[in-house]
Amino acid sequence: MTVLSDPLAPTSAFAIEADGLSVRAGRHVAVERLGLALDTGVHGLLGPNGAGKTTLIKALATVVRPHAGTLRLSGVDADRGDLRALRREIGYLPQRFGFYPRYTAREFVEYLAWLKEMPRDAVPAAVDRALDRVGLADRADSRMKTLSGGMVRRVGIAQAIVNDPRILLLDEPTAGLDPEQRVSFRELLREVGGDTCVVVSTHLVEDVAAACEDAVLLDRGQLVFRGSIDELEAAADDVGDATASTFERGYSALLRDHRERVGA
Amino acid sequence: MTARMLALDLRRGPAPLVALVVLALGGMAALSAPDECQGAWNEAVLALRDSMWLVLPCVLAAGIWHGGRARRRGLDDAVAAAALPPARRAAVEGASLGLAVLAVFVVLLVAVTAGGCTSGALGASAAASALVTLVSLVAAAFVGLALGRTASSPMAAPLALFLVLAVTSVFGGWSPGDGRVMLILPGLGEDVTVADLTVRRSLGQLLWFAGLAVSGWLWASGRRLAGLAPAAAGAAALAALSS
Repeated sequence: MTVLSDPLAPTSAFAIEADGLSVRAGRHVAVERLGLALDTGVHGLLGPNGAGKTTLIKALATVVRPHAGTLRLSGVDADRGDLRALRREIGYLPQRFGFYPRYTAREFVEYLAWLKEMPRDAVPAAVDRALDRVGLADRADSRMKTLSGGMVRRVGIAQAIVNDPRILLLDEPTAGLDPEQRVSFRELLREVGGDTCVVVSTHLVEDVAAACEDAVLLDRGQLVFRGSIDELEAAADDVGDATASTFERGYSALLRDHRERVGA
Repeated sequence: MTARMLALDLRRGPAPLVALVVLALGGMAALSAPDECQGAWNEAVLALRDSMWLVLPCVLAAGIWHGGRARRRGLDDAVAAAALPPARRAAVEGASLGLAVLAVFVVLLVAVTAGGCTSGALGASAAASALVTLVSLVAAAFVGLALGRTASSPMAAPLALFLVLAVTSVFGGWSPGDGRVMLILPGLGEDVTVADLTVRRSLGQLLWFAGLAVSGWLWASGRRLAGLAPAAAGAAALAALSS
């Protein structure tokens, strides 16, 4: 179930709850007075370049602190709460996801499982399962430097899900994946989203349409739209590229309307 | 799990390469000082300590390289979101370099010994002096790690290597005043003899380098202000014990 921010429920059990959230990226306020509540399910985070998607994901991952407003993750204040315990509950694939080239895929996911403070006894099986879920079981013992860009991205997804997180944050997860891998990834998202709050930041409206239950659209740090995929599709008009999908036209129409409203 | 990660870091990190490079450089420097090899442990330890002008900058540079690895490789966001306290990650990374240099140190000591430099029992002053050399290497690893956290550029390690080598080459034999200031380095300078290897002075140096190692570890863990205290305490101990 997903709803817009609910100021009357500050202790509610939403996995992610932002109220008046502002986040800086350097000196620039990249996310401005955002109100949002997300729970179990797959949520698409859309927006053009510079919309604040990556900064918002970083704030949700507790990499950057809120500049103003409140952010509660699994009921814990992300600014003042016990971040160590909270971080064990989060899976995060950053937009820029590097790797140590001499590690094997298994060793690398194991290393990140250690960083997440997973119980020692659970790690080997969890690592194997995560690599299997992203279709890399047969490459588990390959060095990271021998993997293709798409495979590295899948290792990134594996490390994000290795701890069975309550909140899974994926920043541009399909970058570098071929069409077949993208289809498999969408299936994985739907599977994980059954009991996890998944936020997928992407430029690809089609990915959101295919795998997400709802969409959050940002522009210049502000919330433009929050609604179901059907509502995103319904927003489409006849302006612009006729070859674009209805989802893409809905996305463009919502952005255009918002910019006209704020006079940008 | 931490032990497993340490083994992984030892195997896949820069430690093996560092050990080889330091072994080669340190071995050459230590064994090319035949004048100091006069059949006693003190002279052997002195020869080994004199090689530190070359070995120490290499370990420092390796620490810088290792410390900047996560940011250089684009893992900084993933690491920043990690539950594991930074101190534990820094401890594992520093320990892998520390173990590598420990192994090298033992090999060098054995090489010097096998070269016929020693006879008789290892005295307290020689043992303390050898320990100073070892702890100075561990301190260099941790201080390098801390510097690497701050400066992760690929150029940081080679630049530091060049600068520190230049400083130790120029000032290595410098003994201003009574020479006490040079005790902040493990190499003792050209004018220093075995008579200078007192247990008291070595203890001062030991505390100094131990403080430096702890400071490096704290700094690498993100506790920068707190990180200054152990080095300051070590410096005070060195000043007190070397008088």
